[in-house]
Amino acid sequence: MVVLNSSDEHGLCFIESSNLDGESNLKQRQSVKGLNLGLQEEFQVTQFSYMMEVGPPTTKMYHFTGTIPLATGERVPLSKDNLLLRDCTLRNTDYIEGVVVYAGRETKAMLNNGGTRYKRSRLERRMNLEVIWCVVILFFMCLISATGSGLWQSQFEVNISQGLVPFLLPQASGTPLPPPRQLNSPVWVGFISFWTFIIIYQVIIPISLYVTIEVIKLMQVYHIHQDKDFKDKKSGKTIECRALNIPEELGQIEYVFTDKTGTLTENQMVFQCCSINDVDYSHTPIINTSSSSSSQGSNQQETFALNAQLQEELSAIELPLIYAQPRHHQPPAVPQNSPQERMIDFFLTLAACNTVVVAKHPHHDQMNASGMIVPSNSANSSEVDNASFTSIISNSWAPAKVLKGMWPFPRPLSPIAPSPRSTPPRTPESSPRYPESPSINIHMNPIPVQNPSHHSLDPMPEPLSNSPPRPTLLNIQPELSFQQLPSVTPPPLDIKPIYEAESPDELALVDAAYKYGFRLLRRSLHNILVSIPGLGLCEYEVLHVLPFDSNRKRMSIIVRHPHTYQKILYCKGADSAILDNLSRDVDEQTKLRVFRTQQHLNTYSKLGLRVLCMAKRVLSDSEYESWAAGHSVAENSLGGRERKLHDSYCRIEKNLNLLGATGIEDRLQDGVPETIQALRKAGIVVWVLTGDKQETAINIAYSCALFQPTMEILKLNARTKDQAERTINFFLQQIQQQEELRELSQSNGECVPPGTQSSAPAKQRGLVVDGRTLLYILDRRANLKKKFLSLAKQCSAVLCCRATPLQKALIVRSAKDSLKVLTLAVGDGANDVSMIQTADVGVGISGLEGRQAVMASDYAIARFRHLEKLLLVHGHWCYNRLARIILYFFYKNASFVLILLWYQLYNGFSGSSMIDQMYLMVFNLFFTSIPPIVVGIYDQDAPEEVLLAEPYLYSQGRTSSVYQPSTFWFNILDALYQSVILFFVTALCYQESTAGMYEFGMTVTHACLLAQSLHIAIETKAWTILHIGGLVASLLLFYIFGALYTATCPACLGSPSQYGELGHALASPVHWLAVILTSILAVLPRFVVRALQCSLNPDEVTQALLQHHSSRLMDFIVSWSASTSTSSTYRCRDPDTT
Amino acid sequence: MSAQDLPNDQSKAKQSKFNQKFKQQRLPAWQPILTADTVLPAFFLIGLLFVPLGAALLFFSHSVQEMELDYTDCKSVEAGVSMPCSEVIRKSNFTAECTCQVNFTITEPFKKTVYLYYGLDNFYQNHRRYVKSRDDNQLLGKDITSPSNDCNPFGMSDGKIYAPCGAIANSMFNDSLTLYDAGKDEKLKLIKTDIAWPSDRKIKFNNPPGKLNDSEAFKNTIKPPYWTKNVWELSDDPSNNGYKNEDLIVWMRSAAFPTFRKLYGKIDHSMIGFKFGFPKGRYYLEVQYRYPVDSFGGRKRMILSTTSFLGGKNNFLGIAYITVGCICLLLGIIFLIIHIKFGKRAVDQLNINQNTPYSD
Repeated sequence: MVVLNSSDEHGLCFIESSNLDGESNLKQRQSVKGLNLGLQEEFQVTQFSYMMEVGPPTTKMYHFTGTIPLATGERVPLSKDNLLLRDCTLRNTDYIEGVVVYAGRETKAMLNNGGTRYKRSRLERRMNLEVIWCVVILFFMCLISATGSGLWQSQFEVNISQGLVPFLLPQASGTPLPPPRQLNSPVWVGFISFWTFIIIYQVIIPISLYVTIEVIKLMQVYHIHQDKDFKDKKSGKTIECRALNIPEELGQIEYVFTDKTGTLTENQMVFQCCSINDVDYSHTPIINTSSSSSSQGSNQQETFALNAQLQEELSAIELPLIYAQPRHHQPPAVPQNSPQERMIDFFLTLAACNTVVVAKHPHHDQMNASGMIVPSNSANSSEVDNASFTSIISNSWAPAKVLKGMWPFPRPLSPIAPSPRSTPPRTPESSPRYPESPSINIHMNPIPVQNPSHHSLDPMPEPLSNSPPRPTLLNIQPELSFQQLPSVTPPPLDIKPIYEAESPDELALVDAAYKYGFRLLRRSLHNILVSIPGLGLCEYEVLHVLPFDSNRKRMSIIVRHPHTYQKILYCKGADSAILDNLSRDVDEQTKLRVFRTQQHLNTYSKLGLRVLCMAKRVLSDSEYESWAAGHSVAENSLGGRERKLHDSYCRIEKNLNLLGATGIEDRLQDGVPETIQALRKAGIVVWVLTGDKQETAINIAYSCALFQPTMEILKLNARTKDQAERTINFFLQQIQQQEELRELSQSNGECVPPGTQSSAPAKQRGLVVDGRTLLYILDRRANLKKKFLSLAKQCSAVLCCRATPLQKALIVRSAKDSLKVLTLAVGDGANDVSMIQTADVGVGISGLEGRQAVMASDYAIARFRHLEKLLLVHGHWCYNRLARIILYFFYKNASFVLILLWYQLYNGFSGSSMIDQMYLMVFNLFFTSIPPIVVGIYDQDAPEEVLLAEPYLYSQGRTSSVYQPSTFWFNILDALYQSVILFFVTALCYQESTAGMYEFGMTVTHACLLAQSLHIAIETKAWTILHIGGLVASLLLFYIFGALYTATCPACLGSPSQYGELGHALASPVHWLAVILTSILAVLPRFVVRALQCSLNPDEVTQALLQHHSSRLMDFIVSWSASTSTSSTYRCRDPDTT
Repeated sequence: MSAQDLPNDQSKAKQSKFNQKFKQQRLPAWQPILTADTVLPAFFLIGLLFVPLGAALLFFSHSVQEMELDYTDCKSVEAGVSMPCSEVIRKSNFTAECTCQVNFTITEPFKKTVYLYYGLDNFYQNHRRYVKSRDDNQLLGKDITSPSNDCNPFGMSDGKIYAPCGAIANSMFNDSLTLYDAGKDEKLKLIKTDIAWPSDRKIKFNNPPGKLNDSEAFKNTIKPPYWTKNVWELSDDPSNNGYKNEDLIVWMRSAAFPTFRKLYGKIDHSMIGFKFGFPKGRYYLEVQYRYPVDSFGGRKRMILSTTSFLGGKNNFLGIAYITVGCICLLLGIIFLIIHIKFGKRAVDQLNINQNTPYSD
């Protein structure tokens, strides 16, 4: 709905859209401007009569255009800022009034809801293929049986004259008298029985498999979800499995595409360097605080130490301002275009040019803070300050002392008194909400009072007053300097406003500015309240905000200076976006400054920092007016508005004046290098796709172990298509030559044992591609994709920098389609959504950059390092289990059906079965379904520790080695063998006996059940109580069901009665002898093969397990001989070796 | 209170601990690896169990004495008719009865209870449509007025119900077998009761209420078309008559294979000379030949047999057990060799591993 009016006087309302995109921060929406003017003060719904033109409903959540044509011919534009989407929650707003524009199914929430993607895993596709094979087998079985049926029938044709065949029923006629032809023609009988057989044999198509697999996957996902290791202690977030049907894909990943920012790195920006006036100020980050709580709201932890030099210079600027101010009673004049002005502007840009939301503090927060009820009026504020002041001191004492050494000036150089009580007259605006505001007072106060009463009044010991780590050069009140150390202050003392930003970059910058005294205090649509050291509170009027987009890579804000009324454009953006738009006609000095700054930028990016440039442009009134006019036209246009706005933005964002640059460190997440190394050891190819600069990206790649120092780095930086092609060809040739050389040397050196072939020094290569080159490569016309991918195949790590979201997705797609590999994409931001959706498995990091990535993902993890366990352990398990269960199911159904087929040999291919209908139904459903489900959910072919310690074991899933086409046929063969044993051996046991058909059937069923149970017992890798329980339960079910069914129902269900069958069978020794013999004989080959495999040619997992066991055994023996109890940790015991 | 709650709490704690371990997939597990040394004992165990068991089974099977007599083509004993009984009954369009005699000699006396079986070859009692062609409700004596559709086309005829209905009952074996001591020309007594399963006898087959005749119990019924007698005329013994006739009950239990035998009766060992079994001597079998088998190329046999606890004579089980046992022993030896030859590797690994785990 479009907001027309709200309780807020500015027509603002706040929403939380966590239902839509998961972002829990408040978003600001405003009522339609331009209408209220005509409606006077009171908005009345009844008086609202306008036409509203809006675009058709789309799925684009963040896109909305529309206009309201006014009677005057003007058009009032509507944008997404006016639109409240369905599923949003209204916050901090009493009421709103608006017009519903999309309703029902047309709402964006519903449109986006439609059609959950159904991903089918590779294993499942493979399985479906085998199911088709099963259909083929079924067809042949039916064909054979039908032919047999016809042939069998035909042998009775000749004897018809000799009387009736008593066991062949006459054609269904009402009379028992022999019709002229007793029997149907063999062809007809064969034809009919073909369809009969399809019904009888259809069990070979494992329908139950699909159901079972879904159950297993559900439980697997449940287990993944429950895993405590996925819980991130910091954020409290845990894994979120959004896709239920592809857990086994996690075990088969071959390529991992990962975003860098927020995925490999913390996305918790730490302001590290800035370059102002071609001076580089660096800041030492405080590392150990990163482990403390870091929820977005209280993002006030001290992440870097202030740069002393910069502080000094800043105070050098502000001091004269402070002194100058009151005397002249006019705005302090900073020399135009001076370094000082640039410095102030620089920080102003940091503070102002952003979309940070300054959160309000509800009143009760304050009450809780000091433990007493504090009225919000200013009268008591000094007490609050006092209370908080002492509490800070007492709390910050210890850490403060540590920090003390950092400060060359333990005492304020400023002549201004640090005591809050020294300033009794408080300005009315010094409300608890903005306790910083007293600083204005002091700044305004020219008298440098070192209040003597301070120490006497304050019960603080002397060293304490010295101790607080005050950036006192900034000349602010002590409590403010304390407030900058909230990590050592108790959280209740929330004095600093809470900043909430869409991107952590902005947060870091605002934070940095804050620490240097440039405090963003309030931000609304039309003005920004900033406290500037030396100037005090300044309220800038915001004329325009040119929001950030990924094409321009910059954002700007046009403000009116409160004193000079200059219209100033502050621009902040990527270095390329700013440096290209600097004003050309400048003096040498500026050029030098730009050059030096560029040098700094290069240094920063080499350090792996994210660089941003700040620029400014003073607009003349006329310039502004003409642009603003054009801009509003662009804003109001309906068609192609985006493009027009973009052009409009670009018109104003030029001729910029460089202020400086910042370097923000994007810290690597914990365990990222280890994880990447583990993934690479697991044989997974890791590609990093990032939008960062090449230098930055390469540095990160090195630090996160994507690139090894031993690697040969190939860089693709083509500027033209031909160049790209040439470079790729060149690299390919080079690699080919190297390979040939290597092979040559290998074939010459005869003493190369076959086992070490893989470890022969194949030179590892890393490939770096930049966005421009990607453009040529991904261009469909260029036909470079194949060559590029074959080059990439030769490289063990690929880094794509400057990649746009679309390019990311295209890369993933081309790798997926052309290389036929299973891909996994990890990302955290909105720019990774398309990549995540394209990949076979999308993993979202529920980090700081909103939840779009999480919404698009199949699995959402809290940290990148969780990927290791997710893939190596859970993925491996899930794949291994499912593959084995699928094979087992094929075997299970095939063997059961084949037994029925063999019986046709003895009953004239009539389609009769010696197993009762009920058992036929129940056998697959109950008797043999529990153990495979248990194995599918809980079996572990290797314990977690082994899988994590030996990442190469992942290759099992990567190469799909558990479930090959050959293993399918191997299983079918096994089923064939087992059915032959189960049927014919039992048949021989009952030959020449009085055995009834169902008695025989009961024996076969029992034997089949035992054989299938033994089969799964052989396939079980780790026995737990659940496995045993499953097997016992299914056997018990067989007996209990049998007992009930054959004891209660002498005539029911329409089929020949089974009364007494089970009891009779179980009482007969032949039954037991046959069952034991056949079931053991049936599984014997599999048992032998498995045992031979394990002892002669164990696969990697078994080898690792053997090693693990023997090391465990050694530990056990050692500790046991030392008579210490390790049995609690002793997980895997092997009774035959102990 | 606390004393009672304690174990409860403990079990609760235990349960939650189990839950925890279950959720984390860390339940205590036993991870057997099927290496040579692990599977060795299994093979030897199976082998050592199966071979003697097989030998015992063979012994039991051999202890069973059996005599089989094919009388399909036996000639009519009636004067002037010198053709096989099967011809006789076919010519009369399966209405005439034919008596024939077959001589046989018992050379080894049977030492235990002797059972008389009839055997049929090539009779597909397990044919799908045949197996279904019965009405268990009718045989229960419950619902005799409306036969199940499964019985068709032997369900009803002209408003009268076939008793018993269905193809199985219709095709009931109705030759009468009588054994004679050839020397004494004396009829051997047969016990015709207790030849069917007790569960069948007691529960599955019941006569309808009333006297066993066509006016009370079997009102409005007719005999199946192939039958020569009514169902209430099957036996003189009232407890073995009607649906409770054990020949019928035995027949109604479909055989598993087309070659089968069914129990016909037990030799009455209370007869003089039969106390300890079946004495050797010359005997003859007199057959009231009614049952045609030519149409399906079947054979009819009479079998005299003692039983062991395994039932009849069947060497297969014993041989199979011995074979499987031997295979297992052989495999055990093979794995022993493998273990000796290759098993050392594990020991080596153990030694290396202690110092350098997981290094390649």
